[in-house]
Amino acid sequence: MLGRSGTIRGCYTLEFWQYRALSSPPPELHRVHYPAGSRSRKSHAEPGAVQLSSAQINQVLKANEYSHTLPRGPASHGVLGFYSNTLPSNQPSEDRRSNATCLPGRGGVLFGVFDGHAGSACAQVISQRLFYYITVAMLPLKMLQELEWAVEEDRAVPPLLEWHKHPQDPSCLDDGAISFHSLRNYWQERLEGEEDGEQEEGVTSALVDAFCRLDYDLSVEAQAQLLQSSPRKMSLPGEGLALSSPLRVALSGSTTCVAYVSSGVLHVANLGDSRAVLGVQEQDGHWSAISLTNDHNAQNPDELQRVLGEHPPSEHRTAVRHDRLLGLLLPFRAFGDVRFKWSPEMLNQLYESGPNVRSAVSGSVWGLPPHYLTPPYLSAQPEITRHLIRPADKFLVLATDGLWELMHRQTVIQLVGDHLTGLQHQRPIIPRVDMTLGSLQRLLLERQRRVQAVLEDQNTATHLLRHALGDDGYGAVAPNRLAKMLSLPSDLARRYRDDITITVIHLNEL
Amino acid sequence: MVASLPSPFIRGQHRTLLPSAARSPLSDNAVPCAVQRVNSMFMVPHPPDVVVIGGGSLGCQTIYHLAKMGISNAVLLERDRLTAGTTWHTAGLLWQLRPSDVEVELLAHTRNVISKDLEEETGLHTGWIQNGGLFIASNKQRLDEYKRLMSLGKVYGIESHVLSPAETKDLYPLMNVDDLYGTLYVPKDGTMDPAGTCTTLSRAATTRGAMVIENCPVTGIQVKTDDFGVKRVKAVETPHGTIETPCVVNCAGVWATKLGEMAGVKVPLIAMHHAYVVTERIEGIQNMPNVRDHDASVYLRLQGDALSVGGYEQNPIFWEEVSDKFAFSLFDLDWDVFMQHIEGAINRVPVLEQTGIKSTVCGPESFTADHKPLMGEAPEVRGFFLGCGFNSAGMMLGGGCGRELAHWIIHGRPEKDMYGYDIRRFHSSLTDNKRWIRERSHESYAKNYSVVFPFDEPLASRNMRKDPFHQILTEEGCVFQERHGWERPGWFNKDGPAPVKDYDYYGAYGIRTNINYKYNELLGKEYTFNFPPHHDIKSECLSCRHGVVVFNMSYFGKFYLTGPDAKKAADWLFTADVNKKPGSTVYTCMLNRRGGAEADLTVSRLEPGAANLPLAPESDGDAYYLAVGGGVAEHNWNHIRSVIQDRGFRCQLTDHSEDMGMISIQGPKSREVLQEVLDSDLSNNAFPFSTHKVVSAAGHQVRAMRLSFVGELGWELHIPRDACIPVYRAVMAAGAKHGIINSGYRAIDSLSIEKGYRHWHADLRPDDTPLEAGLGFTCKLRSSIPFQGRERLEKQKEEGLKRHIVCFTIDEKIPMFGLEAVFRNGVPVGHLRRADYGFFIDKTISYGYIRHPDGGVVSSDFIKTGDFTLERMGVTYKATAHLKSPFDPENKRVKGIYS
Repeated sequence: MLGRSGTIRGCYTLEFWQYRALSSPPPELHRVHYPAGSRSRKSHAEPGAVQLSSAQINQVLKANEYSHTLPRGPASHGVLGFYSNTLPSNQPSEDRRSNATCLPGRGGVLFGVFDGHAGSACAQVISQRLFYYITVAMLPLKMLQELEWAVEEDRAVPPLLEWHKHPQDPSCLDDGAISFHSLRNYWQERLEGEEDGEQEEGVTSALVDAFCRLDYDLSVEAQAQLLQSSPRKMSLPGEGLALSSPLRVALSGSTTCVAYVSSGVLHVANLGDSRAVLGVQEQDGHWSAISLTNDHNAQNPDELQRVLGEHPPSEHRTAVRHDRLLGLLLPFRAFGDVRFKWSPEMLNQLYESGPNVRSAVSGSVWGLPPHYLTPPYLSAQPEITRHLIRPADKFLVLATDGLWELMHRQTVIQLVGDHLTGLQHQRPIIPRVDMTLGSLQRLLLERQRRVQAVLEDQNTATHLLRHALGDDGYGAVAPNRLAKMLSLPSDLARRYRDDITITVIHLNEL
Repeated sequence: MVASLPSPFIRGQHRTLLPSAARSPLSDNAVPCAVQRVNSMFMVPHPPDVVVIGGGSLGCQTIYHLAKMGISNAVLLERDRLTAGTTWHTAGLLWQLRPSDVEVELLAHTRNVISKDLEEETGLHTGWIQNGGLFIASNKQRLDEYKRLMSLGKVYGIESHVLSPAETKDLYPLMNVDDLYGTLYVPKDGTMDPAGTCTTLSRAATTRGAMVIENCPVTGIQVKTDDFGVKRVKAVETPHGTIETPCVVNCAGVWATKLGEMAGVKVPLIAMHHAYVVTERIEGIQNMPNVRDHDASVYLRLQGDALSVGGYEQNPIFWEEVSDKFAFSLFDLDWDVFMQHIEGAINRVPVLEQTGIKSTVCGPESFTADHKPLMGEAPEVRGFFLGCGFNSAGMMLGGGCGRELAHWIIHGRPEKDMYGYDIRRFHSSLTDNKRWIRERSHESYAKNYSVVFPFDEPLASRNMRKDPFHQILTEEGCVFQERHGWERPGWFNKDGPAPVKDYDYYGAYGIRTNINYKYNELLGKEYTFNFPPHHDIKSECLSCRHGVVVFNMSYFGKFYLTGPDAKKAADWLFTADVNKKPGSTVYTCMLNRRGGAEADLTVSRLEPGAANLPLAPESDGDAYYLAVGGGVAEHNWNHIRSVIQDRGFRCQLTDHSEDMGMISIQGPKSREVLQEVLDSDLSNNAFPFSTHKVVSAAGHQVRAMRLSFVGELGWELHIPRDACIPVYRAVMAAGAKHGIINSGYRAIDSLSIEKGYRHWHADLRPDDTPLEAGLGFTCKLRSSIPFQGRERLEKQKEEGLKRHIVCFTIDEKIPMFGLEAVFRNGVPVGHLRRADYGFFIDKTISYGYIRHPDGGVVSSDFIKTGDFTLERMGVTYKATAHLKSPFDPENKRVKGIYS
């Protein structure tokens, strides 16, 4: 299987055969999400912290910038292009992002942001594998059959995805064999079981199916590894679990927010507390924010009801405690996190396994969660929103909760709108009746400062980052505040800001 | 011929008095006005001599002056109502002092019309308020500029005072004077009311027989081609019928470009948003003068007991889609663009900080490449006149320009030197170049309040026309000047090339500003009213006087006049007798009907023969080669063409300006240098002054012409384009041992004024006759040959000259630039037209026209017996008057006599 490489031409790759080793060290922090109360936005200068120059600030902010313009025409599926950026707080970052064009079948463009927890392994794998699952879930059976024949006959496999990646985005370290095997199983099962359904609603069910199937596969792959690495099989001293080992992936977790645009229709599939917000320009020119996702956490009453409803009333006080699943996990839906999904028996087997497995996970996730009575507690079934793109829908912002905890969605949309409209098209100001020339002058100077900040960044996602971190409370960026936020030593940074990943998808010309 | 029209025109006599519906929303003056509505049945019995299109300031002023000058059947068509386009929202400021003598005269006439004439004629008040004007100077150079204006004002009897900050505070207690250097107070400046003025003008015009018709859009202009192939205006089409007329005046403001298109006429203007803000009431502001704070780019106009605040910003908003439906309409004010003015205004009058805003006025205004209007007969179509592109000064300049336009229409040319406003000042290749219009208009707008320095050059849209030497001279460090689209050499910088870059809009609109812009830095160094850093102009000048230099004068206009009537045309066009034997070259003037000098040029009579283009046209009879200054080529071209058309001469005028380059090698050593390059004997006998022949230069045929614009021995070489570089290299190689250097027009300007040669549009203008200009020697008055303008000259000769040019030198080492006042025995008698430093005589030398204070004849005795002083920035300097230039008065050097 390994020797069979797919056609790899240009940027089209079946990437899961082509993994590079990740050079960054394994994660040290294994925190089940961030501690409550870390939202303090009070910034205080740390002794010895070096103040960054504006050039250094820009270097940090722009290191992970990426943008791509799609060629006009049907192949763009109505997407003009996108801007993306990510700023780590954890070292290394636990956020991931993916953007790709689906090539066969109905085609479309896929965007995803992934917020990992308890390590980045799960987020990493999801960011690489999910889009293939989605593609397979949506492909007509006839094409799947051709794919299967090609693999079977050892022929070149037509590419499924064209990735739009920042070169520095981490790549997976898996050898790809297992994941390819799983994916092939998936399409083989579709070939055996399904009837072809190419209708619109097919997308919704395909997305749900792809999510669930991938989560299931992660689980199965981990169980397979667990059985192989039973205590009887002694591992060599010092040999830990590879970062990408299925167990490590399944023991960590990841929220996921994916947007799929095809033929003028937008689908958003969400799992957890990342968000997709649509920027709509109203007739009078002003900007409205439309949320296309619901957070899957305790703040969402419907979601709380869903979780509680899935467990006996006796667990009402234990299934969700302190706004967390079983008092531990903030998001109520996620990939991975099998210790909130597996049966107690399976988990006990995990916990009894050898030191190499144990070494893969930190103490905080060791041992059965309290009141672990009726698993699964955590779901990987995404919530799907379908939206017909209208001319007034100008852009979509996908971002992990690192952004949303710093900035209200209306502010986000306003900033992006103003940025895209640019200086000349800034919304006209209409002075209040009682305004004096002096007060108007001050207001105008303020606006000018804001416009100058707009011009600093070509990349809208970077612009959002700059504002999210440097906001002076009046809609402008305070350079000092920004410098402080970016100069925080890595052990402190996480207390003031989470990893932030933003992708702004440009849907219609302004 | 009687054109009977189906509907809306009325006989001049049947008009009804209607209250003005065209009142500006800002105006409180209701002036009844005789205006025709198209909704009743009208008829025009005779084809009107003139149809004015556009009922704004210019249209109203033009028809008023036409009527006053005797055109009693002119018609004005306004698409909506009077002033509806841009006039109604104009701020209406009138300043009397501007850094141009012609503009001062134009403004004075406007002031007369609105403050006096109209009231006398109609008994109506135009709304004129004489509250005075105050110019603010925040630095010395600005105050220097104002002092220059003050001195000029004395010549015209315009009262003005330079005030200290404390005196300014006394005059205007609400003003912050802490950061002031000084001010210029002009008590008789004031504020006009656009609606009141226009309605009164139309009333006065209709009283004299003119017709003003509102709600009558023009839908087309018919142009016919006559038997000579000349395009002429035939008729104006409206929805209510067609009006036959030989003459149309385009006063359509921002819509003038569209109107021009109807006749195939290019109207190079661009519409921009221009705004002001009216404040709430300000206690203590009543009767304060209008304020123009140039350094802050803002003006503060008195508006009853409040102020209007406006200005010229760096990033004006262009109005891209000029809409036809914009009567009495405004744009939303873009406060982000306007904000730059608020700061300046609050700084000047701090109480504004606490003052509220009553209303904002942001309307379209038309702007042009050099912030000067577009006037005169369009080169494309005879009978199509322009009166547009007034750069938000249409009210202020309207009276003066309306009169000139009327004169232009009736007499063929204006009374004053209107070249600065004449559409012919732009080369025809530029007037439809969108980039050029936009860039230049932007720069002129943004720099409108900048100090007008003598040696400034534009940065916008340069390099439009380049001659064959451009590249090689750029490498030699040439600092170019822009004239008529051409890049012509200004002077040569020894520190290496200083090329002109693409326009950066001064960083506006987010455009990246040019950095390390050497050309711009060099320009900046000359922003002074002291001696400019003379760079190497002195060494260029002295090299020309003592050695030899080469001037690239390729931008010259180079025309051939041929055809059966060529001799007749030459006799009529040129003041001098150009019909010397072939091979001669004659310096001559061309005059308008009133004897004013429309041009000076050299005319070379050619041998008949087969075509040898571009060096010689085909001709079997009379043929002439005309070389005219490159900056006025379009004007010369059109003047000649119009005269030929008007007189029906059968001849051709062909333009070979771009087919040939031209270098002029001048100086005592020029003969030695050229003798090595040319295959012809250059001795005085074989090649005397004022002759020309086709010779071989380094193996290339060129036309050599023994002439000088600097008063030295020298030759011009007119060279076919492809031969330019090899001939230039041969000249430079031969000249190396004689120390030949490149030189430019800054040196020519200095050398030529030292010699006493005229510059057209400076010390020789259409309002000067050659006799007044000391160019009587160019006029064939002793022959009997008639020529255009001859009668006037004969009359002048008989009656004696009422004004005459005089050369002045001063002993103090003080620079002068023109516009300085001339006093004879303490009485103002004129002002300087042109001044420069003569490096050979080592003096500031200048020319001005003087009059007799009694209006009598200016005799040579009057000049010789006077004690003359020149006033510059309020300081007087004793001057020596010369009847002839003190440099080489015996005119030996051009003849090669150096002793």
